[in-house]
Amino acid sequence: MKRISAAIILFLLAFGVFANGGGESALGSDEPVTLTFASWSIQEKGAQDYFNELKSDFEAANPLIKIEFAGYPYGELKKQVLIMANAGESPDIIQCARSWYPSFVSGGYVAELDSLLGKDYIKDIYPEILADMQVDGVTYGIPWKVSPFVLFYNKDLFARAGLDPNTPPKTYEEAMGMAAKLSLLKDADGNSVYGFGQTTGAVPVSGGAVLSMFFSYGGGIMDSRGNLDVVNNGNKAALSALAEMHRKGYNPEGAKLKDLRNLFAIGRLGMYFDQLWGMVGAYAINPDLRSSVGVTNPLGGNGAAAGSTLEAHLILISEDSAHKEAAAEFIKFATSPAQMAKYYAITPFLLPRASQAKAAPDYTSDPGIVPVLNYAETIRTVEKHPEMENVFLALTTAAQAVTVGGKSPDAALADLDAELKTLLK
Amino acid sequence: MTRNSKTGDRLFGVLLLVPSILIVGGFIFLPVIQSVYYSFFDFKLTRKKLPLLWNGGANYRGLWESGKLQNAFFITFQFMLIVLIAVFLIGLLMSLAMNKGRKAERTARSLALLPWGTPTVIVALLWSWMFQPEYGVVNFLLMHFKIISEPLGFLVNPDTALASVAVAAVWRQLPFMFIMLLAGLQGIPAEMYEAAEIDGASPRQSFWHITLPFLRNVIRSSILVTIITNFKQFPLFWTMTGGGPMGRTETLAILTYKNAFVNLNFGVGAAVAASWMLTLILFSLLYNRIFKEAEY
Repeated sequence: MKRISAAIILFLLAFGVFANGGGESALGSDEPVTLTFASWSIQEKGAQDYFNELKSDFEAANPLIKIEFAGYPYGELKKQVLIMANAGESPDIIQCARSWYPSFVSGGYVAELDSLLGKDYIKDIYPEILADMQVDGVTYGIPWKVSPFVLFYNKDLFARAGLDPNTPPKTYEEAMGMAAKLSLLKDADGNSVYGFGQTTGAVPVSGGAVLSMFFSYGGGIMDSRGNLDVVNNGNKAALSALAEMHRKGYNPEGAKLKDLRNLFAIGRLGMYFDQLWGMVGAYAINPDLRSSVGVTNPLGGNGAAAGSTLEAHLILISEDSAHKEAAAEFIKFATSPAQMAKYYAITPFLLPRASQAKAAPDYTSDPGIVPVLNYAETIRTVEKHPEMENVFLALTTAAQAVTVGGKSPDAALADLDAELKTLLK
Repeated sequence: MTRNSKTGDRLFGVLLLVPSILIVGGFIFLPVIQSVYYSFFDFKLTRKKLPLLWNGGANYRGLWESGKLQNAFFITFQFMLIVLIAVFLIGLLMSLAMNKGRKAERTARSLALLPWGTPTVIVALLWSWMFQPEYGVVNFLLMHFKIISEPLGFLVNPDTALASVAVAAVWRQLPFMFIMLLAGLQGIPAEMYEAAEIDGASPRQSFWHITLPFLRNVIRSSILVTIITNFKQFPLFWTMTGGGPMGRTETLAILTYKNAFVNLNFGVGAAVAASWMLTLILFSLLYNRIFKEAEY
């Protein structure tokens, strides 16, 4: 009988230990928790200080939760996280670029956040942004810093070309007219100035820029019922415009965003589309540029309303994390108005939540932000298919086909249609 | 020697070979076999905890139907031939020119070897900058000498991208071919040329009937190394063009890497690698059969 009693007691004790989760995060418990945060920003010189301060601020406010960074270069992070997750070593929190988001969601790697963060937190996100984060009404990612493809223009070059430096274009048609004048300019060394830059380099982010151009001409790759719709008038008009920009020498051939930033920084590009934080790269090359830079919302074309993909850095929680609630606390802390104000001080971006904008008077009066404060209206939702990164690359191929490839927009769209049918089947 | 001791010697020999067999087998053959095995499965990291599923050659079919495999084979062979012909002809001319016993030859030979000591990634970055349309020295020179009126995007133009990467490859690989051929030339007995001269042979006849036949083995090995190097060329393409524009530089190595390590689709990546490996093995066997080693 004694043995049976001892066995029952041992069983209950063991059950008690396991029921407690063996270190499971339950907030409010006295067990210290360490969260692994996979991030590329922690490796970037300009953001390192902010990220270390975020960690120490959070740990001071939450003494039982420690943050441990797993830093990887931007180009490596997605791959490393997927490898870690498949090896059962998933980080708790993941910094994620918008173009990778579908891979994490469709692969089942990330947790649903609606209940973890609460309804009030979720509904504070601008509806257009939230729509882009949701799959079947479920939120898997929290937008951290966001931007559409805004148009940057050089006010000094505008003035030299006889254009009003305070009146940027609103449509592609206006921009083409301005590009014609800007393209006649030369820099101090006699090099010609490009009028109007649109990235077409073979990288996913350029594909996002091309898709934004499709949106702005009333096109896109899906119809309203979610079926593939590539060969349409909007896309044809967008590719025709790209071909014209190339033919007339307004746009540098096959340029990546970094190439356009370089040219803009040295005064050889009149205007171009970029993410809001892209200008940090240009300022690093030419700090004197600040006073000459103007910014405006994406342009409309062919009478259609301006549109853009959402360019964003997101925060995700791993599905395998044993500390989801603690991770959710970290997300709330990192995206709190106070922290966002600190983050905003080192890099320009747009705020994805209404309460963040309300609590930041500097933001709403920043001349670099004011022209694009209503940016959310331009955001168009993009598919959450695991092959989206390849879709973006296929879009750059179509853009290259009508520019350096010399193909007609019809032929390029037919090729794109065939490629997307294979990728998205 | 008794029968028993012979068997013992054999066993001892086998025993001595075991570590080598295990190392070579474990590190070379096993991964190759595993790679071929995976090429018949759905094996993606983009799906969490997805079990390996046999797909009966769907990876190969998909690659073939998309046309990407054929394109990659075509681009790879095209690149390999361009580089091989250029490297061989220039290397031969250089080695002939620097085998005259002049004083300046030693310095010239040392300088000619410089590209060989430069890491391939650095070569790729160097040439990327030189071909850059806005700041690149190639465009600057071509415009300065009025050969072109507008800068050319050598690496982003589908008509020039492959040739531009080939230029970088030739620059990098030329010293190897040059040094091999020069070593071969220096091994030809001078008496052969003297005898030919006495017999009234012209320099051209000496070249065709003495130089080339004596260089045969060196040419055979150098060409095989150049073929294999360029067949699997990866860093130049990945750094300079990433396979673009419009797939015009998407070689087998790039297609493998994109599928396996960008798309994390190891099944398709393994299928490209297996097709490529099989081709290279068949080619090497055929090559060695055709160009049998010459004996003097």
